[in-house]
Amino acid sequence: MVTALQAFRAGRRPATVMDRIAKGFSDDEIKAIAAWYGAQP
Amino acid sequence: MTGAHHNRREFITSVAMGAGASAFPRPLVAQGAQPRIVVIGGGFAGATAARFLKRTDPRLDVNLVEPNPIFSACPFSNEVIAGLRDMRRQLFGYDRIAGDGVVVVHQAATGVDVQARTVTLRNGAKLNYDRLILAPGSDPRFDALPGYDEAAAERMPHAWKAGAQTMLLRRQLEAMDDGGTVVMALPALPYRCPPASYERACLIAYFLKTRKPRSKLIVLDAKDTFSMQRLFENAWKEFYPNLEWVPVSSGGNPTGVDVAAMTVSSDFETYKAAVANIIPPQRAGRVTELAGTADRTGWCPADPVTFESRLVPGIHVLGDAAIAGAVPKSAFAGNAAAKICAAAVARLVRGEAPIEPKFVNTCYSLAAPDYGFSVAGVYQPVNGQWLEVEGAGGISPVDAPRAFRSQEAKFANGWFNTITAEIFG
Repeated sequence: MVTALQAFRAGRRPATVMDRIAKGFSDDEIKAIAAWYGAQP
Repeated sequence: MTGAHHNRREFITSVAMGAGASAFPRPLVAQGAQPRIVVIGGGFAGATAARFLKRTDPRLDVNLVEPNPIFSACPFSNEVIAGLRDMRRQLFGYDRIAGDGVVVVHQAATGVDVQARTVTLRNGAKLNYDRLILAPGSDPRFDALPGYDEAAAERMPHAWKAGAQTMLLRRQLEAMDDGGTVVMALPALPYRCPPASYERACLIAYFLKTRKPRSKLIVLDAKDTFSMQRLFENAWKEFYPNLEWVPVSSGGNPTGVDVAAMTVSSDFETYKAAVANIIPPQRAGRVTELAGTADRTGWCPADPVTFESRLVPGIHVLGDAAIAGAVPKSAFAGNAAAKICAAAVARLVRGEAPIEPKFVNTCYSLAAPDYGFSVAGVYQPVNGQWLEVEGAGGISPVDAPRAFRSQEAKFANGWFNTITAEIFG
């Protein structure tokens, strides 16, 4: 998920809205987001 | 998603610099009391806040005060107006929220005593609170547009609160003779979900084009510019020659209505309407006046980290009612703000410092069935104000292929299903 969000941020992964959203987050924040989603059942 | 958090040290630094306005009260939990939180308003913001408070800390005593037993959602209600969607898909009950341990009280709040910290209900009962969360949405101002009062709204619906008004406007459009003129009036900012007014213009134009092809739509607007403007204007050009937008600089500012004559006036002209949809200026829902949290603008200034009122300590204001800097008045933002507020309140009643938040808003608009686009933003508090994170967010590409619009229309549906399931499901 970290890789995917970073790819959205860099514009390397096709997106409609996630590219625009991912640009608002740092590497640390992306890791925190991924960790939170990873912990969900 | 409510996004990532800054670490605690950063937050304490910002408090020292004066960004965090709230003083932390004595911890209630440590004293052995069960902290009592009352939430007024069971819409996207309030229902989220109640549910997430209980989820964050099951020991909290959470009351949700909402007079209506069924919630009517505004997002996608424009599709209902245009005959493209069943109203029943907009309706949600509170059973699952109650099942999570929230006490759902179907009463109107008629008074707030900020000294005694009590809320009075229509049936005379009183609820005590340690912290009060107000999420009453926005109310039409029936003193703002000459001729447009509560009775006028029964002839010229605003349909800016979903429910009976939505169905009234739909029935009027269906009953209208082909060849009639529909007139919409749009207010100046701020108001609830401005892009939805242009989405509505599109979908009413779609209805006319497909069902009443000799009819037209005139949109009188108190603005010259608006969100996603190029996307909307391109859609109007492509699909809706029957739609005429009159911005304020062309004399479009709505100046009054005459219900008996069925006319809507602007700076320059008076238009005879077969159907009139008047979206009036708005203010924070009425309970904010009872609580004293609204300022002269009619809206409620609030701290961005906790959403605590800047005027009345111990009361938090969420959703459309709050003045939240760059954050739009949308269901998405109300839901995100409610999660931030719930986390902050759960910490505050334990005497802990809240965590600095960051969150996302995305608003989808449909210009036609299967033709959607969006505006997104990422927000964080800077010097006590919500600001947009630079370099992030923005609108859908103006030159995107049709498949992209189709995909965003599907995502709009997905968003609605997800957010309503999270809150009410």
